[in-house]
Amino acid sequence: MAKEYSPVKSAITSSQVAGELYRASSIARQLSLAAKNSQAVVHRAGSKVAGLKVISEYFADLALKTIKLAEEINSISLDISHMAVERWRQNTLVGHLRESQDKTHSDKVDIIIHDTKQRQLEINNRFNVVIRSLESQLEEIQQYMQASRVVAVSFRLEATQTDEYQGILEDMANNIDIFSEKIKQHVLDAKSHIDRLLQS
Amino acid sequence: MEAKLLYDDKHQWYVFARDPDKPEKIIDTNQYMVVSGKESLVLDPGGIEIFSSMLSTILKFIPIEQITHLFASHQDPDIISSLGMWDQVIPKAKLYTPGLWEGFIRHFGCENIEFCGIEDGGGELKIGDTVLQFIPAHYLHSSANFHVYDPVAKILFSGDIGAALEPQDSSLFIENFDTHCDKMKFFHQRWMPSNEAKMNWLKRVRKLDIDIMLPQHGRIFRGKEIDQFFDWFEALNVGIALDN
Repeated sequence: MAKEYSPVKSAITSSQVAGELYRASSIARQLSLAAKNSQAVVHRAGSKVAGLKVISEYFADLALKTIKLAEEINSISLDISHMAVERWRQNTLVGHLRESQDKTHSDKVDIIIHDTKQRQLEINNRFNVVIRSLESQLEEIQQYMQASRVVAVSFRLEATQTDEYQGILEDMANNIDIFSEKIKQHVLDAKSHIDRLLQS
Repeated sequence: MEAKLLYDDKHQWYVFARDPDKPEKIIDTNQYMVVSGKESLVLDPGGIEIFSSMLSTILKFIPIEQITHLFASHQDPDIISSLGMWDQVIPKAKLYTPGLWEGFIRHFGCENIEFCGIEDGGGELKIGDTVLQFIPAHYLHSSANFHVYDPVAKILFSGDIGAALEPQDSSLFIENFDTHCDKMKFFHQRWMPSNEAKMNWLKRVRKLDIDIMLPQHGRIFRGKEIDQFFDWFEALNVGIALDN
């Protein structure tokens, strides 16, 4: 049987995760802009930074994937939040029905309690599946950010081999690093919110 | 749920509205939030059906510990039926609402949140470094009803006054005041019961310096649209059900 987490904590956790991913996707849009700039610079520099062409294309693709995944997680978090609140309401209903049952001993109330608990169970099972998939998606974004930092290293290396574009490439490498680190931090915060819930 | 920053200086005003996840037959509502320092006030936090969307949207901008105050202009379910849930997630918060409605609003569940009843004459509330005023709007439409004025941002939260019934995907802002009047007319004529109360409110708010007026349903008023609204509302006969 799937573990049942506190619906209040679940609602708070999923909203916190949605908040972290909203902020991460805002930064991912800045990362995407940095990627487009890098493509423009590589195009302008031509053969002087030939080694960066493939990397900048990979980087642009990575930035777009990050935005998409962050938005997906944000949307899943909202679904989880709705589920948690629904479960919360069902819990409250069962509590009230039990109080009523203690007074009436009615068969009909028994049936309603049974049906409500069945719905609770279904929501809880769905909740458990989705929260686990959320964890793996967060790990995927973390991997993207590790790859993004490799891109930053490549830009920095290439910068040392050019004169004219050295400053621009170094700035880009720094921006990529900063944005990737910020996104990674939001993802880590989201993961720690989930961990706290799963360990509760 | 759509979220927009309306005012951004030493403190901030946000609007949260047009929730695509809300059940179809539920009236669309606008929720607002004032953030100042480490405190915030959520104005008319909404019904139970939009609670999860509201919590998720607020947490995009501030951490949960920073939701310190709630305000309910009156007792209606679309305003505050989510109270029982806020009561569990922000148990140390305070709720400011008309004192007259205490026994009624507590039916939504208020075991932890501190209930702070506003007296009929209104009052003030300090959120962080920002002082907000409670402006009486009794009988518009609820018998005990308040609006919130921010003299620094020059923003008036006007509850059901200025409300319009519109499709889910309508703009947040008025684009054409004249055509917008058609969408406000029935709402004000049928929900607002008293011409005397209307004139009393107009006398109060015309003294205020207002750049933005925020209703709980419909679209936001800016600049000259506010005086246009006051003139339109003054001329409108309300309480029409008695004529039928």
